Amino acid sequence: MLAKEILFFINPDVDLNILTETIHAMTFNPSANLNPSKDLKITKEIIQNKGIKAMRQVPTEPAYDVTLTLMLPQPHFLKAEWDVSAAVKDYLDPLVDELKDIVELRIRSQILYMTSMRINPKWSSNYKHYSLPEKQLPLTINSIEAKLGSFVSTRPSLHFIVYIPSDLQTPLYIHRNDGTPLESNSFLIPRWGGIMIHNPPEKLIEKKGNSSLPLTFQIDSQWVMKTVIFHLHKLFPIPSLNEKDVKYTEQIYANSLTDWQINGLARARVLSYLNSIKITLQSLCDLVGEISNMVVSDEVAGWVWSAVDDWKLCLDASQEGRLEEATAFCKRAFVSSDAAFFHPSMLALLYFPDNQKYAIYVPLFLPVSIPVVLSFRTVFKLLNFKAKKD
Amino acid sequence: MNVIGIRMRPETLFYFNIIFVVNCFQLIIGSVEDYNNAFSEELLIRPLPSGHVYSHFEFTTLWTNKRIKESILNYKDFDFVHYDLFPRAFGEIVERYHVRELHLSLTQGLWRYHKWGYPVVEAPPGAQLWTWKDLVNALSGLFCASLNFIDSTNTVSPELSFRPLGITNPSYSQNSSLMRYTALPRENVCTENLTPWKKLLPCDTKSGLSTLLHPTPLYSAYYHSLSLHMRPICEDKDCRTPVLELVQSLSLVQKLFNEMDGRQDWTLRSLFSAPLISVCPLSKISKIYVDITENENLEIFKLDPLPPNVETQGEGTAKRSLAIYDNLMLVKDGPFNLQARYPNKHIYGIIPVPSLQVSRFITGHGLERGSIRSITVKLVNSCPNQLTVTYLEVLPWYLRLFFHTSHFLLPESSMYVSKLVTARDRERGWLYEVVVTLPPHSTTEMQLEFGRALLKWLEYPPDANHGFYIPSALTMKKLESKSFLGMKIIDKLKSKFLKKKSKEEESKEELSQKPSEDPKDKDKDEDRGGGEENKKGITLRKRVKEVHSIKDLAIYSLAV
Repeated sequence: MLAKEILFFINPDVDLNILTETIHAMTFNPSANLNPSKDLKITKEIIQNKGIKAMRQVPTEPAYDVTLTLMLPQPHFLKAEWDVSAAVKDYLDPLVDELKDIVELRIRSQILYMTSMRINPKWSSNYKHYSLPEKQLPLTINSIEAKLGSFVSTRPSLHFIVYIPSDLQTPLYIHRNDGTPLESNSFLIPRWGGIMIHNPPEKLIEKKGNSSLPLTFQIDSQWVMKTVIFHLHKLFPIPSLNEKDVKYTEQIYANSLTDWQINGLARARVLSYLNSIKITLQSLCDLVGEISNMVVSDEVAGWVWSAVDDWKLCLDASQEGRLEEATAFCKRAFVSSDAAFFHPSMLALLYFPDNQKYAIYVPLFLPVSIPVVLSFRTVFKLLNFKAKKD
Repeated sequence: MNVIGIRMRPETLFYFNIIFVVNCFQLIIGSVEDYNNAFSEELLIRPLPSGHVYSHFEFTTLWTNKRIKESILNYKDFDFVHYDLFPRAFGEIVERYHVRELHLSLTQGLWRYHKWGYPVVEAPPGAQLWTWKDLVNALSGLFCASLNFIDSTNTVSPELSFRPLGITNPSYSQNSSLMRYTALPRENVCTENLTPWKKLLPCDTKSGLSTLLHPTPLYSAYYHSLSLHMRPICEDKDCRTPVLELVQSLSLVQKLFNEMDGRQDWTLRSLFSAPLISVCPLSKISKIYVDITENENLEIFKLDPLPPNVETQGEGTAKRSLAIYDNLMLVKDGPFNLQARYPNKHIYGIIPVPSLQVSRFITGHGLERGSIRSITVKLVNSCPNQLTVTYLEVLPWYLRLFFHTSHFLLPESSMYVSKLVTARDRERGWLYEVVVTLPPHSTTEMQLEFGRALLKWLEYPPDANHGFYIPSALTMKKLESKSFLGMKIIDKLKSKFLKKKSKEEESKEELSQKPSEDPKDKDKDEDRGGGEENKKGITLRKRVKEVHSIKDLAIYSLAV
């Protein structure tokens, strides 16, 4: 699936400058084309320069749990109907399928009842709706996070929440800092997922007085899933063209990923794998070096060796541009390096570094030794006394 | 024969119906995952003749869809994708650890059988866990309980005790190797276990009966048991629609006498320190039942408000009457505080004993006779029929049992050891399972002599003043008549209620579903393990395999 060669179809009338710029943006994505063995420093710099965008990115791991959560704080008042399985099948499954060589996404959905976010929206008389100021957004997930997760899987999870506001907060819109409403009415939480606020249709709310409860409405699957996909793109991140580049290219496959996007993602992830495996192994090395009497079992050693071998293979493959193989090797190396680092036998016994041993034993032995040392004086005195007597 | 425990409710297996189809439009037939699920909340209050009040909460979640049906019928691992009422945190564990059925209980205090009769759900003190297929350690994280102390030394697979309670075919249910049972008698239960347990309820503690669960009255009770039971059950007789059932239950025994007054009066507020103010909007059933078996004319105590509905069931000693309150109707007019008023003072008298009683204690003391002591078990059969029971003893490896001197004191009682696993130091514990026939109106005594092994200093449990805890022994008896005990009536009512509502869906279901398998294959096995076995030895199993009442435990301490 991952192609080594990409075919460009170019309009003969095109301006050469724009052409080079666009191709450059598509292929020489700075974070995607580095030589990892030398350039650890450079990546750090890029991360510094890119700032927020780099922080948004999810940690690179072979698989993720994607959880879609529908939150209904008042099921006795408002009931949302959502055919999740159909929505997932129509919108997310194609994406999962496209990315399956690079990353495994496991999609689950759940409905949370009677749980609301702790937010304080204000009535905005200008817009005739409740406004949720931007500065409240970071606090929204704190109250619900305990109810979202599961304890079983060790894969990082990405949460996407569709929040139906409660009775007294409908309709609810997110407002920018300047006071204007946000069109998407959703926001992304870096490395975590996204939250969408889904208001019930206005007509339904108007007639709340004269119809029997609970009011029922359909969730707009298209809007929800498009937002989820958009957030997923940002979280990985799947490379995309800037707005200025987009207008020069024909968007043929608007709904599916293009080859260069998949290649770009694969390249960026291989790079990130190579770095993180290196860091894991390095810190394991440091740890074992620091604590000289640490027991490293054969199993752990085996994991380390296989991680090193796979890392080398991954590096070679990536340098030759065999992205598919590189991804596979890197995944394997990542799994074995993690297995080595988190192996239970590494923590089975308590190890103290040498300097800590002094810190423990000195306060114990020093006070004990003082009377012992002092008693020598008495012994000498006694001996002297006896000698004099003689 | 009647009344021996009712952990299992055989007749309920067929009565459940599923209501509630959320997404009705199917784009492509077969690809749509339907949320067929239902939730119900119930509370049974039974004043006990000893002056205590027994309350039993039961929260049931039923769930079925195509994938679940397939996994249940084909014995595949569950594969849940879209969760609705069923808690995801628990579902993921079931999925990951290939669990088919799971029963977990966390209990504080000891159920006094001779005073209180039989509970709706039995549980020995401490933590008890029995699951099929695999042992689940992740549960300890979910319930904040030290279930991680469960290891090979205290896990057993009994031969006859504990059969699957859900639907299985005979060959599966008789395969005891798929089943694990373990008990941790030392485990304490407190709010840290209650909070995560409550989180699994779809309404959490925001509304419904779960708002009554305040920790203070719960943990000052005489007996407190928190449990979670998951099993596959059948909705219809042909078992075309298997359903996954999750029951979360909580039992309490309280004594709230006003000593000055001497009356057994109780109200919802005095029992749980709050009246009922709401109903979980997701529940199809929200009811309170009061056991008025000996009080049908409401002479012994008066209920306020008067019960709108009274249901009576059973004959003779198995007769039960329940006053039924529908919470949905009652909370409409503000907080609902059910009250029971006794005109007379409570009189302590002789309480009729249950048909089968078991007590277990340690005899012998000190270091004479090589410090050999014995576990003495007394099985009292007070009914006019002969009873055959299975007795299961799971003991830690550091007890050395001496079987050659173990004996039954009543010669005419027949005994047969169905499974014996000898302990191996630090590797596995004892499993001693016997089948005993108890003559009518008799007391049978059994003695198991033991000595104690020397332990390494690290192997001693903390808190030396506690000594060692030994898990409860279990006595199981197959129920021969479909007798009562509380929840059976509830189930009947439930099934009636659900049936009415679900007729339409049911017919739809049947149309869309082709019975792809020979119904003989999946024996729906009312008395789990049932079926018509002809092999030798199985008849015995058949006789015994059923219901159990967990009997008595000795919290037993050896001087360290």
